[in-house]
Amino acid sequence: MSASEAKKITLKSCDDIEFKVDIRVASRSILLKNMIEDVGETDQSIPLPNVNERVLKKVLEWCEHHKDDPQPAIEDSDTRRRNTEIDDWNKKFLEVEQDMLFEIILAANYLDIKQLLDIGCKTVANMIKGKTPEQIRETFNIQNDFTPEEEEQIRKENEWAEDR
Amino acid sequence: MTPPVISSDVVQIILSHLPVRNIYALRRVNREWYSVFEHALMLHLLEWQSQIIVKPGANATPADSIALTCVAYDPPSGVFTFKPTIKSQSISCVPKYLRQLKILFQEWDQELESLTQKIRRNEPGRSAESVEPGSEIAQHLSNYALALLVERYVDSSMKEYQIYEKPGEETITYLGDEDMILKCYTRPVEAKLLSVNPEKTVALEIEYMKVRSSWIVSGTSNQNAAIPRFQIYPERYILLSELTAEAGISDYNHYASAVLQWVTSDHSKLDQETTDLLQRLKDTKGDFTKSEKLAKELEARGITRRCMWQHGFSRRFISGLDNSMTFEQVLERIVNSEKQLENRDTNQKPMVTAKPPARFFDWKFGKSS
Repeated sequence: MSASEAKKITLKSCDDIEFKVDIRVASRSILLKNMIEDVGETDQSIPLPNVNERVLKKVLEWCEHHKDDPQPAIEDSDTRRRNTEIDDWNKKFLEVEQDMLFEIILAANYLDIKQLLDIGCKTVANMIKGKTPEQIRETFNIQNDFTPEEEEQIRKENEWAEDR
Repeated sequence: MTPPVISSDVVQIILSHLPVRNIYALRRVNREWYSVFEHALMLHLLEWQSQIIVKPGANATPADSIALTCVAYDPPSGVFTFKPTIKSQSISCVPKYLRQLKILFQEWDQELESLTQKIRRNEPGRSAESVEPGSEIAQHLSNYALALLVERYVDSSMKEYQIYEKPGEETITYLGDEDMILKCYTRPVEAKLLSVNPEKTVALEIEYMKVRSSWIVSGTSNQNAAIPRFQIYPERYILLSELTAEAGISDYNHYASAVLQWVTSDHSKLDQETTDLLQRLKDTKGDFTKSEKLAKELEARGITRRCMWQHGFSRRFISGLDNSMTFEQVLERIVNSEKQLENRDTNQKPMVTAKPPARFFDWKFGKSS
């Protein structure tokens, strides 16, 4: 096995599509990084039962672009502090259908890719800003499961905090 | 196609990127968002590193203040713990400023800016750009936003807490409100520091501050019925109420240092400490401080306690800066000024209302077009 081949692993999406990727790229995912460290080099493909081809392709595109980024330090809160800005590449990368955006976030959460999860959540937070609970339910297709009495109670508690 | 289901932990992360008041307001979306509110708040505090600033005196500089960072959240009790950002930080104070202690959360300031922006945007026919900075309208909008802010955070922005040091000794003081408790120490300042500034004779150190989410989100405007408060350690207060009732104590200061010390402890019915506290409450007729006595008298007259923080004379009286007026005189002056305010034409009432008047510009400046 040559050195360049040894650095690749195969991922299999839930719809059975295989992706051959550089270990450095796959290692942006802490889940995959740990898995690779545990099993060592393998020719077996790693199945990802929660991610479909479309989403995995997108996530791997992100990982490829960020493969040389330093891993974020745990005590790195100062640099992220109040940072609601998203750089241009990431902004463009996340200009996708809303469902796709959520799929990416969920995949990032499952694969444990903190930076991607963060910018995805920030993007959604920016979409939420200034919206009423009603508008948010509608935008994200969220079921209001409060009883009318409960909702009335919370509405009262919330009145001062909701700007109209 | 059904949209993907967002899991609770993702909802928390999304919410944590919003300002605290929005996190609170969005509890209304559904049960899940309601239930993750405080977890999202904790993530937010970790991420934004927002601090609580304890200032001895309103004009204290950052170097003369103590900043606290959130270090823990305990879901069962809903208590957030803040500790000094600089470990064991001790600041030297002029003693009188310990009677004018302000406790503020950093993000309340940012609220002012966002309120101003919001009011500009919401005014029909006016976009943020059409209001010239520094113009009269901009000034009025900013005043209006300030009024809104004061309405929401009045007790916290104007309220002053008192610490009384003992010369030559270490003291432990607990300060508190319905949803907040702070524990601190005072000590004599070391000789070498005293030579730098001989007026600053007391060293202040804070051990912790424990708050409920309602304090973070809205400050301590605990007399504004529209803003719900979450009682800190409610089960301890229930127990204490039972014990005081048994001991024949009809009323006591819930925020007296000794009471707060007991509330944050594990002492129970049979302790010596509990017996001592009950004896103390009996001996002192409830251990009421100047400000709590005043609050009680005002409330007995149907006036909210926040009024005593709105007047300079009563703040100076409470802090002991001005002893020219008696308790009764201060009380009478507050009551009179509240009566005057009530009798005034509604149009002239100060703009302190939680909701913007429907036609703010017409009302304030006369018809503009």
